[in-house]
Amino acid sequence: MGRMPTGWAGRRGNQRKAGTREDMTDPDGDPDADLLARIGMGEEAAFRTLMAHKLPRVHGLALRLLRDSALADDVAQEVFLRVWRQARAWRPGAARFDTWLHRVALNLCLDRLRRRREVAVAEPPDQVDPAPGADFMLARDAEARRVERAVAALPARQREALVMQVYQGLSNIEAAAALGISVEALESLLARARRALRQQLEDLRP
Amino acid sequence: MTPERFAALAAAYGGAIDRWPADERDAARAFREADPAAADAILAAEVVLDAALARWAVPAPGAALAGRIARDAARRRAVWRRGRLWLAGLGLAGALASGGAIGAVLVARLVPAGGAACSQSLTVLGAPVPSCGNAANWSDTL
Repeated sequence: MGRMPTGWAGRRGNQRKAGTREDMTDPDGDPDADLLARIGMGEEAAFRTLMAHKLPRVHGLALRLLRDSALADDVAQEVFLRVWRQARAWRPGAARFDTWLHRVALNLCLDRLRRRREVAVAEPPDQVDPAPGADFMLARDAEARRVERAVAALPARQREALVMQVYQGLSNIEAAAALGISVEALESLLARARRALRQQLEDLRP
Repeated sequence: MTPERFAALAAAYGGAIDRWPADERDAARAFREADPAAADAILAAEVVLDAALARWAVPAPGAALAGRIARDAARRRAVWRRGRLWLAGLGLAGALASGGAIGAVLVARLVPAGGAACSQSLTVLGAPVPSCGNAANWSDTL
């Protein structure tokens, strides 16, 4: 993993860039701090509680970036094993745990994508859409796959920014920190991503 | 807030002002109240895109995944604790061994060859002590 996340003792990174607007989140009030302290003391019940809260989001992020459920499972597992191993060293206040979690998950996804490229495995071919109007569910599935393909076709950084902001629901500062960029850069990536998507999906009306 | 900034925020964060940066929401809402037609015209296209993006839902991870992670974590902690015990044992054994070795070296270096150092110049019988470490001379004093 190239970029180290922040929040762990002795590991401070570039989560805040000079000249960016201040976040609306208060790192001192990290809602996960108590849970992490208990995990650091080896409390398995706290670990399970944290997973109940966070696993769907981490898994969803991995699934959207990797589009492979087995790889998404692997990434989610690795992320939470790191949490379990390193919770003792967590220092509240350096960064929100949720931001750290997203950053670790993102970096692991990027590692998997790199490996996939290195072994020159072609991306799985997109499935052929079922006949439109076959039934409502099939049509919805087809629309969802269209959106998925459109997002997947974005340049990598635009895709990551969009997934963090739209699907993970991170604030602008949290998404920028997870991506290791400034808020201004995030806004630029998001605007370009949305512009491309508007063109591709303009016929998808609510 | 200027119309340009309102449009830039919509272009980046979508048609729901509630999802815009917190420090700009109030100003954005005020802009919308002041000129609803202009604001809604900007937001309309983004609302459509938001709805389209919302169609891509991903399945939740299976319950088995959480169980597998928890079991793996518990197993790793057990291995780590056993490893720590082994290391503590090895450390203790190493400390004992090195203590013994240091003690042996100190004895060998500090105690002169041939016997203990002499601290008195007379024997209990009042005879002068012969040169220390020369056992052969002890017979002369008897």
